[in-house]
Amino acid sequence: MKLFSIIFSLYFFFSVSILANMNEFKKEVLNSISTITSLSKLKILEKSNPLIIPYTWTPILEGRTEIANKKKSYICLMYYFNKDENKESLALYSHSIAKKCTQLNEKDFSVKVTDLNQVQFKVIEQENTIDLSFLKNKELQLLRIPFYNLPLDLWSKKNFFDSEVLSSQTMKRKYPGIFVLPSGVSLRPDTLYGELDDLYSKGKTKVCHDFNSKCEETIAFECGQCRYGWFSTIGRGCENGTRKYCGVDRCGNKGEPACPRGFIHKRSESKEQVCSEKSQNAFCKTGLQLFCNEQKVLVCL
Amino acid sequence: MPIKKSHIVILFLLITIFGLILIKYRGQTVPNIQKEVSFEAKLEEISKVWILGIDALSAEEIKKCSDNSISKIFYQCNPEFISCVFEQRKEEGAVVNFQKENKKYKIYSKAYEEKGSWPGYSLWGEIILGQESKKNKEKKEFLLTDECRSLYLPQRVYQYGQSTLKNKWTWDNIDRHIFIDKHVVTNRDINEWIEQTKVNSTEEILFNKESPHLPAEFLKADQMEAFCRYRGKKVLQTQYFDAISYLPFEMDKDRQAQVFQSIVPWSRKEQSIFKVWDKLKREISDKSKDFERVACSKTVSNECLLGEKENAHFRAPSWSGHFMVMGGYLEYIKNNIHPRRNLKASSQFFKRTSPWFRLGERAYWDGDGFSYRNFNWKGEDPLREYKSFGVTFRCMKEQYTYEAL
Repeated sequence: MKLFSIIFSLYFFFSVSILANMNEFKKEVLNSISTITSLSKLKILEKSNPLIIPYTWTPILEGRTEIANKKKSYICLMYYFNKDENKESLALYSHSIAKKCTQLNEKDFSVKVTDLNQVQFKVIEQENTIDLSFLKNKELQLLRIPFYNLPLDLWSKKNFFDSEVLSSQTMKRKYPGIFVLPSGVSLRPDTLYGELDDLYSKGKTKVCHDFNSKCEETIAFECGQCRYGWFSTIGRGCENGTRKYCGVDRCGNKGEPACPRGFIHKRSESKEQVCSEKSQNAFCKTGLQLFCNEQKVLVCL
Repeated sequence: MPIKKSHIVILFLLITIFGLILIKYRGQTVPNIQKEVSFEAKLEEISKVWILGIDALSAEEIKKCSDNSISKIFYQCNPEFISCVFEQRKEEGAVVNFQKENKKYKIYSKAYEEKGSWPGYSLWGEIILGQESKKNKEKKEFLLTDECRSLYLPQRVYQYGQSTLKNKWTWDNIDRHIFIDKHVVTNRDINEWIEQTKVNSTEEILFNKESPHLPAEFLKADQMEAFCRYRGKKVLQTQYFDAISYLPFEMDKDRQAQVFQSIVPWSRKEQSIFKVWDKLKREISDKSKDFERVACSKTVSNECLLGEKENAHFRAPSWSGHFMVMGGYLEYIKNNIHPRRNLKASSQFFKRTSPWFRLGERAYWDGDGFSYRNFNWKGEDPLREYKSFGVTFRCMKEQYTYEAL
């Protein structure tokens, strides 16, 4: 009787632990993945898929939750297949520190569940949802994960590129107009740049996106952190982008950068011609002239 | 005291019971399909009300939260409206709440939050699932972004101002993402701005709180800029205004070598405003329709009825879907090329045969007041000296490819 009580209690104890762990896993996965703003990888989960390597943690879903360029959360959903025992495992990495999913260790995982069977992903394209299912102790676990913040036409794209995810105004989300916040996100930002009276002519504006003379990006776009918006400048002649500053757009005014006139005009000039007083790439208010300054920016004088 | 086996059994049982209790009371945070379905159903409901406005409501709800004499457009992406709707729709177990920080609703604006805030302009909300009497409830917070107000400007070559043989001032927005508001700013918008931000203006901001759906007509130019900043935007500039006004000649070509211009937003052919109306009269007489009504549906001038004048800002879309680019209200448009041509003068202050009723024609407003002396009509004066001339405005925004919010 006593032995029976001990065995029974042990069984309950471990069942509770397993149940708690499973619930924790499901909660974390749902909360992290449903609010991602960009999806960079989604692997078809078939054991015959040569990209699924046994005895190796393989990322099957990679994404990011990004809010106004600064608050980021990096997500990797990892899969492990023990071929000998025919057992599968799932784990989640969800952190503000960017790490390559393929370089994660087990200690990096937020949650993990093991001894699974028949792990499957099913994409329900028209609902922007994936169903993740698996067996644990012969019991079916089903997790329906909606992608609240991704565009509805995501699945028609063959490759997932972050840069193609346009702003809320150009993309249709699962529920138009709604951005679902990941739980626990504070709505206080790290930093916002710029004051109302910052003028380029006084050297007070901050660069928030930049390229060097070889048109390589030297400062990644962070103009989402500009409190009063941003403006482009013309002068570098780079087709892949323009130098941008935080601040109120006062283009065309004396001492301020010239206003952009467009791509067509840009194309017709050599890189050297772009930053010259005769440039057709930019314009000033009537009466002012274009001038290329030492920063290779067309300003109005 | 020696530990007996019965002590160990009791200990394990206690741990197990404790664990079960813990799971039960954490049960509300355990995701299951049922709960997510409830959240999703609510999200869908919220999205419909936000985007569709009164079209998403029952007849009963329409009476409580709206006025059927006001255009439907006013109720789309309208924070006052949606907070009213969900105040009525409170149901046991599922509540949508917009109240925060002792306000009826809370707008996050990057330009104005005291400690800074990253969304350009969005309305905060939360869904609360769970019984009122129970302690454990599940919440999901969300932001509503204004997807109704502005329209994307197609990437193409455009013309600024009227072209002559000598002067063709073309520009383009290839590889640039420009969004322009469909209609001018309303009194409701200004009221919200003042209430949400307790804005500190050196001069009083004049607007009509009693008519929220009507355009805000008496803001000074710097106040207009401040409002657009609140929305994460800037005042519309003239080359973009021309882009949404002139009817494109070759829609299938976005990099056309030549850009021709129409003189009115709805027709390409005529080159004189008199011919435009003459042609319309001929068409109307064939079909026995009322000329005045048809003419006023295309543009609102002095001849039109008061009701048509008041609601002009929600009517007569141009080729790009923007309202009343000719006629209706005076509209300030910032001009970075010719600063003294910054006012769309075609309006209810002039007859429809006035020279102002031609795209590209602009007067001047000093941005500082609303009496006769604050304007330069370039010889084409209004019909009479009105006590004041209200000036409206709209906002625009350029967005980089990758900006999440």
